[in-house]
Amino acid sequence: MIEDKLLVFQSKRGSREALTRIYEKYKRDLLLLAMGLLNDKTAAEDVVHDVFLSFVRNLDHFRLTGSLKGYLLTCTANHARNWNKAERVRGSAGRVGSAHRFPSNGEQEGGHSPPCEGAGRALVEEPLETLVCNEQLELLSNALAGLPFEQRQIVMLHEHGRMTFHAIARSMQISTNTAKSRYRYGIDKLRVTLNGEVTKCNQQTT
Amino acid sequence: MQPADDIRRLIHQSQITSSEQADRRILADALADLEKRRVSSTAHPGVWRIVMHSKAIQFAAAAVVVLAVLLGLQFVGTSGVTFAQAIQPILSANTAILDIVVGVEDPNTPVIRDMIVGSRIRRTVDNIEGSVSIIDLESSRILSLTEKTKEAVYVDLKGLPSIPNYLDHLKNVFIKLQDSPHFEIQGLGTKQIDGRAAVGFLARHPNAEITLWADAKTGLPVRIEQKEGRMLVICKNLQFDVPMDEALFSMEVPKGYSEQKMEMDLFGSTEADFIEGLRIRAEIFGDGRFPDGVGVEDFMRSIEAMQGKGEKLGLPKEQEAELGMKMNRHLLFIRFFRGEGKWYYRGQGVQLGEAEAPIFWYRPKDSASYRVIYGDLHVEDVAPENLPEPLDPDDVAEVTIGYQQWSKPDFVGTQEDYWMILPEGKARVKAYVTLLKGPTGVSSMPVALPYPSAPLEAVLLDREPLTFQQTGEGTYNVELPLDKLAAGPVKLLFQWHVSLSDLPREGDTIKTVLKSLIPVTSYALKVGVDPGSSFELTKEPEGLWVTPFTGGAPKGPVTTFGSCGLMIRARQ
Repeated sequence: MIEDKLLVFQSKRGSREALTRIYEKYKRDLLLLAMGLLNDKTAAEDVVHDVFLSFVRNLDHFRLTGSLKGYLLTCTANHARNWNKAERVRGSAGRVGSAHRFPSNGEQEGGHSPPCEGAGRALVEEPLETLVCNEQLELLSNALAGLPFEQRQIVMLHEHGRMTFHAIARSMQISTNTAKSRYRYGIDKLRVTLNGEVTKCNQQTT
Repeated sequence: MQPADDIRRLIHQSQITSSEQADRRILADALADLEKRRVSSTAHPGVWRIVMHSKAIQFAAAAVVVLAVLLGLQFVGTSGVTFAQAIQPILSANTAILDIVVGVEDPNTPVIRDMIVGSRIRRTVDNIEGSVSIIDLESSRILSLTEKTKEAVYVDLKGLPSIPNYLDHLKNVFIKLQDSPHFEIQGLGTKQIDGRAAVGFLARHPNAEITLWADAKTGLPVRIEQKEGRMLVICKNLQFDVPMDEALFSMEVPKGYSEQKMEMDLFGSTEADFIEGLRIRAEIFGDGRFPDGVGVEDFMRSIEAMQGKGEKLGLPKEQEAELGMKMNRHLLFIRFFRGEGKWYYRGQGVQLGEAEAPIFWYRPKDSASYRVIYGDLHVEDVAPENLPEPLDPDDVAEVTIGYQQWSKPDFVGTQEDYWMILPEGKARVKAYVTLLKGPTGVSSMPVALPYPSAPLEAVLLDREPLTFQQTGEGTYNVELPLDKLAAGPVKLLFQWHVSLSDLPREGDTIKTVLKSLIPVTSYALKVGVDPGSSFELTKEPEGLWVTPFTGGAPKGPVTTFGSCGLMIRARQ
């Protein structure tokens, strides 16, 4: 906390090292949140990029009153929501899904039918991919993609960002009870969607 | 267990790793914005003013370190000459003394004097008085001594390739060139060098050009001019097997000297480092203007002026060290340039902050677009046709040869395998096969996977799935869209997962057979490790990957390249 205050202060004074340190410290949290919310590596990277630029541009007026991580996570969720809205508009205009999105179960790259029986998941990344996700994140992202964005946002901010329902509710301008109920709905749907995959995955990694 | 606990665990086990490429993009833009903010702001003192009010600086030490790093590796991985009489003294020498000039030889260009014994070099530079560096290539360490201030700085170099002996490398250069079928020698006749007749030879190789002048009477080499990339290095006043006092090469700090230590990663330099160096050179050493050039030779010529400027400024020790480190990283970007083709610098006379003036552009490896740096140090991705100037005629992009049909029955290509070690003890294999040739009219391509127990999961061409059918244990037929192949994209992506427990082991080393899917003319294996896996790489990766194997098939396409270790070990 004190370190974050110092880093923000130094960044305001133009310290490249301090800004780099902030990025290095929180990039994984932000990328993971963005990936969980958008299920698209390119978009996740773009969102974190925009969050950082926006953070720098608003440094003059920025006052750290709570947790820097919480602030950046909320910004990431907001940017992701905007991206998601824009994507829906683009999608309704006939755009084909992003190339970097993980296909859901049974779904293949770009919406094509499976290449052959038993072909399993398609693969989408380039050899020098900019972001690498482990299989748990692939599983999680695919499952989260089935939830409404608001539920995804609350599940991820609460579970991944360790934010309280009160803080989430305040950032989303909703009541704490609404945040809690959206979280419950989200978790229930995830349980149905994952349908034993989580346990299987946990067994493999423990 | 509650479902929320399972999902919570899944979230906590989820991991994402960004590559240097992603970090660079995000950070470079954020830092450029920070810079804009800083330049436009009048509320806070800038670095320039902080520097102006600081105490004395000794830029010399930092500069000598830079030179040691930039030139210590001068002959690594390059080529040489072949006229037995002239090179014999070099091949048989145990010690040497030589002068080095980088770039054009004129009174403004500093001369570096190297004394070489085994893996140690004692280096002085004539425009940096009172400073000497002892470079120990064996331990990758430099001891830089400044007599005036009685300061000693140890610099530990990280990321150095193995260099057993500096002089041996020069020897290797000559021997390798002699053995190369592409090597050509041309006689240059006789001319006077330093008052004596010398016979000249020009040795040409596709990657290098070396001119060697030898004494016409004794046959001893007197001058070597080596062109490596865009850098010309001249070695002159050569003396071999001169007795030298071992104490001159001691890595011990002399009595009465203060001691400092620093580390330098030679392969960690990024575009952001280069840009930061441009800022420093303009803001601190250039009175707000960018330097005339950014090549190593330009830096060499400006050392004296920078040193003078540095002394006037005055800096606390910490800032001096930081500045030196930043300049090193700036120069390393150019010295070990890893982009495709050439870089272009047009910053001469441009004022820092001129947002419309492009000052530097280059094409990163595997990128279709160029990175263009502007006078306010923001960076844009620009298509080749929109560059500020046409490319140099000799800066030709590598031509991609498309798929061709031929009368032979085989499919032929090249293959690169990317193995990602996953947490559950498996490797996800993505094999990229670039198809070069195939039999006329045949669209069904047989492939054989290296491990029958690891079945093929998917095949993609240009991100679209292809149909395939299993024909036997580990063998498949893939249906190729010939019209699409003929139109351009020829890179096929195959994916399968293989269990690490199915792979052969040799002690603690996990190995794999090197077997391509179809006959290939070259094969490479790259390995990366998921952060959640219980393995780690045994070698520093380049980006995400290490390359345990890369090889060609000069006698014709083959499918087997032996076996090799995966360069992974249990996480420690």
